[in-house]
Amino acid sequence: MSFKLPKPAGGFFRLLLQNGSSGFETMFDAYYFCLMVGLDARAVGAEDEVGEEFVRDYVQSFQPYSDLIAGLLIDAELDRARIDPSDRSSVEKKIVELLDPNSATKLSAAGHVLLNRYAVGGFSELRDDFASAPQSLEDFLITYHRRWGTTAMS
Amino acid sequence: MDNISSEISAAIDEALAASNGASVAFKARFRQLIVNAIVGNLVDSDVMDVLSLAPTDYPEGS
Amino acid sequence: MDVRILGWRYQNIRGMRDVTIDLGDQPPRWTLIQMPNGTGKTTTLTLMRVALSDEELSVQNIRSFRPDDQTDAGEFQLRLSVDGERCWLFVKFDYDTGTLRRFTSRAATDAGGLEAGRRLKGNLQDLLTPAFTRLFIFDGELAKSIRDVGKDEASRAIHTLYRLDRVDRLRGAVQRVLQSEQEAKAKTERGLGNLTGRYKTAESTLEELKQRKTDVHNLIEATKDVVAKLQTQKNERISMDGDARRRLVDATQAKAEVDVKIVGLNKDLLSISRNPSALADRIRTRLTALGSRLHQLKLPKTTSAEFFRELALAKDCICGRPIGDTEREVITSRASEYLAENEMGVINAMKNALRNSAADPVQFDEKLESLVRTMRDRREINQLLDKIAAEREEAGDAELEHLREELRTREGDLRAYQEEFRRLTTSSRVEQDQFGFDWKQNIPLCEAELEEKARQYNAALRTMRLHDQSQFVANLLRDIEERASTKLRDRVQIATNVKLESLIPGEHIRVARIGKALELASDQRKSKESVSEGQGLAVAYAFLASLFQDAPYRLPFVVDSPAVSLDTRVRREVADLIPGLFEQVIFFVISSEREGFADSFYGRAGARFITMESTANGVTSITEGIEAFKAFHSEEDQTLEGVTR
Repeated sequence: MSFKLPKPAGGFFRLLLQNGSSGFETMFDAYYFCLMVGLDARAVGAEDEVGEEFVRDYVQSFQPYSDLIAGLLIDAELDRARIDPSDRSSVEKKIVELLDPNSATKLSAAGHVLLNRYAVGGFSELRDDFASAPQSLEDFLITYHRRWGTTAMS
Repeated sequence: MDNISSEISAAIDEALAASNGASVAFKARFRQLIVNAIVGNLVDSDVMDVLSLAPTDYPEGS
Repeated sequence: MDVRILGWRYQNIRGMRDVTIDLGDQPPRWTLIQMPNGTGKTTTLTLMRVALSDEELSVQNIRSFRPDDQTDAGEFQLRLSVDGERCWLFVKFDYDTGTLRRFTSRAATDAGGLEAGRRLKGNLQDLLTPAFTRLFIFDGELAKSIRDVGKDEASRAIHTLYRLDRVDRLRGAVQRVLQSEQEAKAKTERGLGNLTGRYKTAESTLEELKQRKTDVHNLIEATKDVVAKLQTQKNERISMDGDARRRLVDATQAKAEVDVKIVGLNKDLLSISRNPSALADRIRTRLTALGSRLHQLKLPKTTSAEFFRELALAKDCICGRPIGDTEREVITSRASEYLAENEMGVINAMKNALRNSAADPVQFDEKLESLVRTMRDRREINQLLDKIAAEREEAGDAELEHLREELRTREGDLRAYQEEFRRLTTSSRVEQDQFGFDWKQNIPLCEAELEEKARQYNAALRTMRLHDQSQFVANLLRDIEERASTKLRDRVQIATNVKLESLIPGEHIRVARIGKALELASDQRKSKESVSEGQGLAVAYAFLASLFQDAPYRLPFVVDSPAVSLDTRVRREVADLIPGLFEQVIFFVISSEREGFADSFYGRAGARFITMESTANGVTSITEGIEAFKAFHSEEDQTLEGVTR
């Protein structure tokens, strides 16, 4: 199972990825921020924007949240397909498609493909929040969190 | 029989003298190759070994 | 290699029940065996050839050796010594099936036990082909075929005896290499120039990149030094004023603290953000909704895939209806639509995780606010630092302004160099891909490219080299074969003609050329198309003698009726000539050859005379000794003698 960073994300996050002490701790951080936006927007991005695998399974810092991420994927997919929430068999079928209890990430191969597409979609969205590529982690965090409507940013 | 007729030996000498560019090492190895062929003391890889010593316009490569 | 015939033995071969000719361990140089026509001369020579080479015999031929209907097996033994070692060759005949089998007994192997097949020492084994064996187990037929242009006898004999056939084989092997390289070369030649160019380009690019890496590294170090120096200089400049100095120190301290604080807050926020339900309310809400929806749908259901599979195996449904094959199929396929045990586990884990993902949104917001504030503080401190510097500047310190400018520039340079260094040196494939580096900008990629180009280039080069080399060697071998062949033929030709001068002085018959056949010429006629049988025989003897004269093999010479068609004078010449040229000669003669031929051996010490005849009741008798030999008289031979004279 593999996680793939959206192709343009590397360039956009370059300074944050290269700066050891004051930047992202792993590439997965960059991936995750894109992914969350994409899942939230129910937007799968273009297939040809999916990049190369940068890690096979969850890195240690994200391992505790693997079930929640699986849940968010299910939630986004149900919504994207407009599956009637009371249609039990369709819901069940969709879940079966996306999960693989035998995989280290608990997601099926199809689930991973979708996850990476959501990361691409998320990146497209969040890039528009920034006038230019973020120069520092603090700049990034503050701008990023604005879109989630935290009260701090009013 | 471990020697070859004088005619054949002379033929080898003449042919080598008339050739161009062969190294001393090649000449000695080549002569032995023929002797081995005649007395039946040859294996396939011997041929390639000697071929690789023959002269050529192309360099060794890196 | 020295081969002698020590004797032979016939068992149940035609008229010979059990006849042994024993020439002893040191066989005489000349053996004359008087054997009337019809007693088995031809058979004996044939058998000798069959034993020595792997000449085939037809079923008819074999059966023709059968003495009578009661006998179903026969045997011929040929006893040899090869370089002093005893080697006996056996040919056993089965007259019923008309087949033969060969065996060998060598003194050296296995205390002389029988080995299956014809097993001669090393080189002898493949030298003695049927064609070659006829050169020294010899009858009048050879004399004719040696001069027959249609056949290849003469020059092939030379070729074989001196083993040029093996040089031929070597040349064949080289030719095959040349052929395959020829094909490869055609393909390679076009691309070679290109490959060389690309290799050299990659090589020089790598050089440049490596050089650049060193340069950039040095630049980084140098720039760091410069930046440090400039900062020190700037601060010194500012701190010249005691009060300003104090303010500078405080501000610098405050800046350090605020930087640390920001790093800490970043780390915390990053850590908290990783929990999706902490990232935003919206997310948490969605997760919770999903959880309760699943609960509402009673997913995972108590009815699971396992239930359906078990049902499929049962005879009756729980509802009481029987389950047939169609129903079974439907049930099994539906099972795959339902969550299996394990998947239920995942869903449950998710629900648990949700329940336990209590994140404190308040804490998160607080940290974020703190970050914003701290960034504001940092801006203020930077402004303060700038102000301090500006004050100095206003006081007319152009130098300070210059330093600040310089510092800004240098810091920018440093960042650029560090980025360039990263670009040059990263070997992370993800980075290379993400930032779009290729081998012209990145050292690890360039090294890989160079290796690949080198590999291709060397492969191409190898082809070109091998082609040249095999061409060279093939030509050399052809040259050698031609020269050697010519020299050998010349020698044999000259030696033959020398002998012919004494054998046939009057006619000056000479070998003009040894092409495929012995081509003759004479003074009287330009090309001698037809010579008499006697002359032809003389030529054959002269040739064979010259051929074997200096050969690396010493072989026994066995001749059937050596002199029958020669006139007396030539007989004497032949009788004088041949024996001197072979270490061992065995003549099979008929009584009419005694005069002029056999009689010239009577005086030689060490000549042996054997007379074989078949008596009235079909038994063959052997008599030793010169007296019996001289006295022997045969009816058939007399008649023959009348005809040929």
